[in-house]
Amino acid sequence: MLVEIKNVSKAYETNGNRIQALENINFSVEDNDFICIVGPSGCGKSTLLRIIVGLEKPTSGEVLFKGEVIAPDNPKVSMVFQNFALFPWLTVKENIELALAPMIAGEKEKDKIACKYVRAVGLDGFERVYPRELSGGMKQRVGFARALAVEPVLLCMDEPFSSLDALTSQNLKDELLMLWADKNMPPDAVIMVTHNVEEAVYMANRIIILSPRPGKIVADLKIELDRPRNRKDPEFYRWVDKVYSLIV
Amino acid sequence: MKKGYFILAIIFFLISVSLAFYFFDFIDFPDLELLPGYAAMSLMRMSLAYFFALCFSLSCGYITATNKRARMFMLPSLDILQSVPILGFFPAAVLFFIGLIHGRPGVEVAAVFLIFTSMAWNMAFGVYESLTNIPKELVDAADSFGLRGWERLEHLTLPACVPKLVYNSIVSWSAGWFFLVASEIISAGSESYRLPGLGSFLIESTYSGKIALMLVGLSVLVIIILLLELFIWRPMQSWADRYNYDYSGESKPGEFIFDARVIKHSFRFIFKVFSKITVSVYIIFHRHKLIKNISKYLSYLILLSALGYVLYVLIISIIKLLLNLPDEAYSIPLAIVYSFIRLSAAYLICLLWTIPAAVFIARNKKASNILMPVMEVAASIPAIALFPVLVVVFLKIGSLELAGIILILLGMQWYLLFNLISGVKSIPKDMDNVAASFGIKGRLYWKKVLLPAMFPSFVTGSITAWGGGWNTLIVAEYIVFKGQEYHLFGIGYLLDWATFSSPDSNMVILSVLSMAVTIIFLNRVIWQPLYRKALTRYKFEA
Repeated sequence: MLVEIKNVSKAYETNGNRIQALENINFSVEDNDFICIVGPSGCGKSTLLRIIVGLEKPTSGEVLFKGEVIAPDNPKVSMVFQNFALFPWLTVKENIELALAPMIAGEKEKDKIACKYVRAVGLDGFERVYPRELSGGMKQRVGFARALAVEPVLLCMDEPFSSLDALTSQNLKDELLMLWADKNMPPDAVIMVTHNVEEAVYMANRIIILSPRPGKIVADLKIELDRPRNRKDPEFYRWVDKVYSLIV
Repeated sequence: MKKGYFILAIIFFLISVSLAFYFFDFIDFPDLELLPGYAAMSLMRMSLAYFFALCFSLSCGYITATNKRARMFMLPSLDILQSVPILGFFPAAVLFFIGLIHGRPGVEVAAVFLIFTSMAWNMAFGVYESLTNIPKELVDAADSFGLRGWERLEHLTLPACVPKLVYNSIVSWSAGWFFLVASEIISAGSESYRLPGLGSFLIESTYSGKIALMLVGLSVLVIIILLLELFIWRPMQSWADRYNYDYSGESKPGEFIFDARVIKHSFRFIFKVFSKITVSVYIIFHRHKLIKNISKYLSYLILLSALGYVLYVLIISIIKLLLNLPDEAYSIPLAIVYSFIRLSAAYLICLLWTIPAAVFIARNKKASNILMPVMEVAASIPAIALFPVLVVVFLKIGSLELAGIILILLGMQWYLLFNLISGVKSIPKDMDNVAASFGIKGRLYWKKVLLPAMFPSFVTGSITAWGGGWNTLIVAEYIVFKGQEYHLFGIGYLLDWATFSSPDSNMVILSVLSMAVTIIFLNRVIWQPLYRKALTRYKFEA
């Protein structure tokens, strides 16, 4: 068992009103899991992901990573952001090296790892380019390279494809699936937040469906479809319909 | 492209005029010999003040952004300090620092302090705003890699401040020039407190009747300002563009007359060195708990004792004042009213010409292409540097009242004009199309579309214009020419007179305080409600 989410609840206090965002979330992540968290907007999907990564503290309950309470700077867990979160004042390579800085001291070694992952996401030749000069898809590739460079066991993604166009995101999805399936490359497990049900069915082997606020787990489905998956397969659509019926 | 060439043209023009003056024997070389030294001294004062302002704004902005308790105290005080015209404090500062350090060094410190106060507040606000507006995702990313301490400082905190810090540095330098020249001119009113510099060069050459020399001095001042613009601020701005979060826009080519890569690289280098130094200072203070604690309590101690001292001096002098009110004190309210009327007159004239001019320039592409660079260069000359010209005008027409209002006008108009132009330009095209499609034209168009749309920029322009006006007032009401004193009755006159003609610290403190109270009162009663209204009702949704 990789990660255990135990009885996690989260409440916010705004203008004296208490808003319950998440209630009693329980599930665990195994090696080789690809989990998609779906649900209506405002159900606390992103909050849950931030709690799993350790960026936010739950009001009650805990998240255990290999039996220990998660810390936000745990290099075994890394994150990909919806709007890429690249540092505009650093080049592609410097952005990746910055993520490595807290764990690796040697400049040479950082350089080597950064180059390896620049290549892995197909950005050779763009090492010295600044983010603003890249297209959206290329920026998110840098986001992936940066998240993978720390060689995480668990990769967490918050709607990583929703600010990209359809074609670009389809290519990136396939490449990500290949990396996930590759036993020599990180990550072992992936958690992805999305509001796109088709995307979830296409990628995940488990889909966790949250209810509207307060977010509770409605269903935890195992997607039993062979890979590579075919969107035109009637079986594929049965799964999509099933997830939709659970969301509404 | 255009503005860069235009600035170069102006620089060559000024140099050739100055040379012409020299060759046609209008001026003697001995007088001119002083000029480089004086210019260097002025520039030194500016750079020193800027250095302190930079250090202050970084530390103060950082503390305000990160410490909740400090924020409650810092934000309102920064706000008040920003809205009070600081020039009024110069006489008080001179008296204070001369009390601490005798003779000219005291005046020097006072001048640097004054320039510092004109530079620091908006920069501190800039740092505070940039630190609180770092995109959340970027902070999350830094957290998730475990960027802490100095690494965070070097890669997240400092770079995030760059764009606003550069923008505010430009604003601060132009304010700084104003106060530099002003402090040199004001102190020239008294023999014992003279400050050699460009401002005093201007005023001395005027007072000794050498108008050509004054014009050369003015040219040198303008040339320095334009050279800084060309070789420091514009490359710096295009360098700072890299530190913006705006991913979407393609990189805009910097508007520049030559390839500024060398300058930009040197900025990058300076910034790296600067951040390394900041970071190592940070490391020294944070490596050992003991040093950290000592420095923390020491800074508390210094801050509290400084505050206590200022409060003590203030309370003592107020008590003394109330016990023993100088006779002139009773004329302060009237003086403020007189000054206020003078400012209002100048403000009205400003409005009369800037509103139609702004609409014309913003709507007419050709006019805007030609006029904007001319006006930007004109606006970069600190209004106070034209004070000697005002003296000449005064001697010609004999009416100090008119000359004073003209000077105040010069100190006010650019703020209004530029704000109004950007206000007109920000009207969405759709609004105009709607108006056109319903046939709204003429007076109705002005009343229902144009003027309401300009309202927010009118308010911000007016606030800054009045601030500039109060500052200009301090020099506009008092002239000493060939030993003869001329004045307009007003608060600026009272202040100058109390400082230099009869050093009377009670009177100075009283005048400064009543002026500050008046201005804060006007801000609270008139401008802030208008500003709120402008934000809520007259703003176009983005």
